[in-house]
Amino acid sequence: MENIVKTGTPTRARAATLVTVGPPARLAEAAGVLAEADEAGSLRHVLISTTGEDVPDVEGLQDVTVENVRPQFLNNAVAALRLSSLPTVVWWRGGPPDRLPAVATLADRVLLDAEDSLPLWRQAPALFGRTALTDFRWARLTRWRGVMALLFDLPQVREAAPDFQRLRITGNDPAQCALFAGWLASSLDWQGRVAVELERAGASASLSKVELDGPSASLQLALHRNGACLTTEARVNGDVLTSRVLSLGSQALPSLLSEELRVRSRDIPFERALQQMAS
Amino acid sequence: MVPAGNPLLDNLRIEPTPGATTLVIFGASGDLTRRKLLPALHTLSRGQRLPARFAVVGIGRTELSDDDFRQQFRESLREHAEVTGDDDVVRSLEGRLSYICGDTGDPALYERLAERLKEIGGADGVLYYLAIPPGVYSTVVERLGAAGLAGTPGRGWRRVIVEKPFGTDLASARALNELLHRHFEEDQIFRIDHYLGKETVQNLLVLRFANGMFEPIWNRRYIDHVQITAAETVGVEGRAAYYEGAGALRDMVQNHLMQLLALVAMEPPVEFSAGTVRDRKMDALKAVQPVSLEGENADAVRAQYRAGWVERREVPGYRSEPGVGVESTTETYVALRLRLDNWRWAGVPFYLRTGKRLPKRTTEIAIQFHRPPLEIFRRVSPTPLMSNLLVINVQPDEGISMRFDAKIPGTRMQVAPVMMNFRYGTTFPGEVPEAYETLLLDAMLGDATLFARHDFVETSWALVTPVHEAWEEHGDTSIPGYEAGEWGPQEADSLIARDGRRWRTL
Repeated sequence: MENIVKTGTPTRARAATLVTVGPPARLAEAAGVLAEADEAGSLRHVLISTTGEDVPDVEGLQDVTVENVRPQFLNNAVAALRLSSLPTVVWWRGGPPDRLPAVATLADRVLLDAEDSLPLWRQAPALFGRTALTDFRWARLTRWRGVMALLFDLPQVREAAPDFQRLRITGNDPAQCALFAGWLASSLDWQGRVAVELERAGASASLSKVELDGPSASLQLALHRNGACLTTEARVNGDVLTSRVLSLGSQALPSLLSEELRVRSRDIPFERALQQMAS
Repeated sequence: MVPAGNPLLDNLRIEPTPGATTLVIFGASGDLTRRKLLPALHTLSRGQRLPARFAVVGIGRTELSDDDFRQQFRESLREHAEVTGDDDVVRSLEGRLSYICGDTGDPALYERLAERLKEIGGADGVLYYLAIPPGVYSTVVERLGAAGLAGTPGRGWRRVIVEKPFGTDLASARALNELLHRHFEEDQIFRIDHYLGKETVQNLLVLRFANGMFEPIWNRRYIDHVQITAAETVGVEGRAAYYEGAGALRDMVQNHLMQLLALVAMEPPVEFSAGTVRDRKMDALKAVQPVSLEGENADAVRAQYRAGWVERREVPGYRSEPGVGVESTTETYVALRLRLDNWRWAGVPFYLRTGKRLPKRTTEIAIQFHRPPLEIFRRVSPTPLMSNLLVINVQPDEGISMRFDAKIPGTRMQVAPVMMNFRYGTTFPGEVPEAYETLLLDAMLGDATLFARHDFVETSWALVTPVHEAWEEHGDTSIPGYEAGEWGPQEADSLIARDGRRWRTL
């Protein structure tokens, strides 16, 4: 049993081709993120500039870079560089929104990460059956959703849920706030019963507070002053049912990218939240 | 009417958390609590895996106040979880810790516990963790039952986690199970075997039953034999008092190795549920034939380490360890050859070995396949062709390796074996949960898949007890030896060599 040819230290198995699409500045930022992401070593990287400008040098990454490709041929570039033996993940950091469907069709997974999500979200429902698509704004909501779900584990909260009347969300990213509202409305099947107020706050946090109120119960999630935790409180009939401080987890781009790369299948709650927003 | 399910849990990336739970730790000032349980709770809390309403009540004989217990929690995180900061998660969790000092034999302790549970606010679920010596189990279980703390109230639940050893032989295992069953139903009892909480052990189920390529060849037609190894470099490490009464057979084989064997040998379950998975494991265990102890052809070998060199230093022999008698015959090494009589495994031996003071700390399962029926490359290959091998590394480098033959590049047709390796740490970076995190959470969620069931424990003891008794009856003080730092005694090599095979050198 001993005459084994030593193959040396095992190299990282390639788990996917990650195609990053965007303008050069956003690609440069992505390169920095990739260098820090846990999964970087297991990815085959392809960077595609959407403006015809040079793709910045990315030290330490084994990349294929594509420059000077006209927007209408973005999908051709992806088609040429994807491998049938690896899942293809497209990280969309910018580019003409109308090219998204053609690119998405070639991908097993699409991570939307544009500065303005709304034009992409309008196109997204038509793509749900063709690829697994989510948005980084959704990834930033994971912990918030988890904490809200924790409160709904309490039978008293679930009992009071049909009577909630008002949802108030505060943050400086209206799209992200609306997405959270869309998730709650679709998950709890509000059908317009609950008044939703989105308040844009001047603080730096994309989402800083969620308040859900009814005659007998109120729930509150708020970003802790340290920015790294969430404070939660559930009141039922005036009594504090629970009050906790919970970690928000890392909201840094490398962590979010790692989280998104672990998702390989359709995210139905995200799809429902977007459809809820559209309605 | 309260909706039964939580609508927000649908496809939530953060996995579901248990309902309101109070964890009651008996042995709260002890080593297991400090090293494993408290760090595991912190990690679960950081990952939002603990319920919104969660509390810990520590119980111990050491005089501690609530604040002392919280201080112990902080120290435990510093020493065993490298959590040095005093972050908000730590503060939030420690606020939920309280402590009751008392003698586990004193009924008044349980009255105070009942009061504390009431003060905490009617937690729906109470999980008792017996992090105490096995000799005290019966007292605690009897007292919990007598105080009415074992029964399941209305919509809540009461569960108990029992640490190994689950008895010391078949009779004591049965007695322990009877005792537990007097006050708890089987679905309330969680017998913890931390091996089952390891990722690779769980992945064994995925490897076998989530892939179509392995199951068709997972039988006697394609597999020559199976080797299961659990090797430690450490000696008794101050646990002589326990180990002298246990030995490798009862400390490792009866529980960990038998669990691994069952996972390798089991039939496919029809669903991934605790009941079905454990039923199939039981079927496999029931197929294991009694161990032959006949003379020179015995299928069991025991040995004890002598002085030697391991972990870059000279170490004393077992009999020179503090607390060990100079004539001790406690085995620190066991090798077994097991036969499973069923259609899948008839004629395929399972070789098990475990020992202390071996050259490496490693646990693995090696599936050795038959050679090809016709060796057409025999004339051109300079070395004998080797059969295919699938190795499941349980620890420390969790992963799976496959050995197959490949052509050496060149103009000649030369063949050599190569390994294809999958390592968890490289493909799935990030933190792998500690076994205790997984198992604590599963117990809170009521998922018993990774816990040992009473019938498995008893059947396993039924296999192991006659071997132990035969060794006990042997009577003299001679026991084969092996040098610390060697891969076991000559007798173990002979055991497998009788079948024309040899142990893997790891």
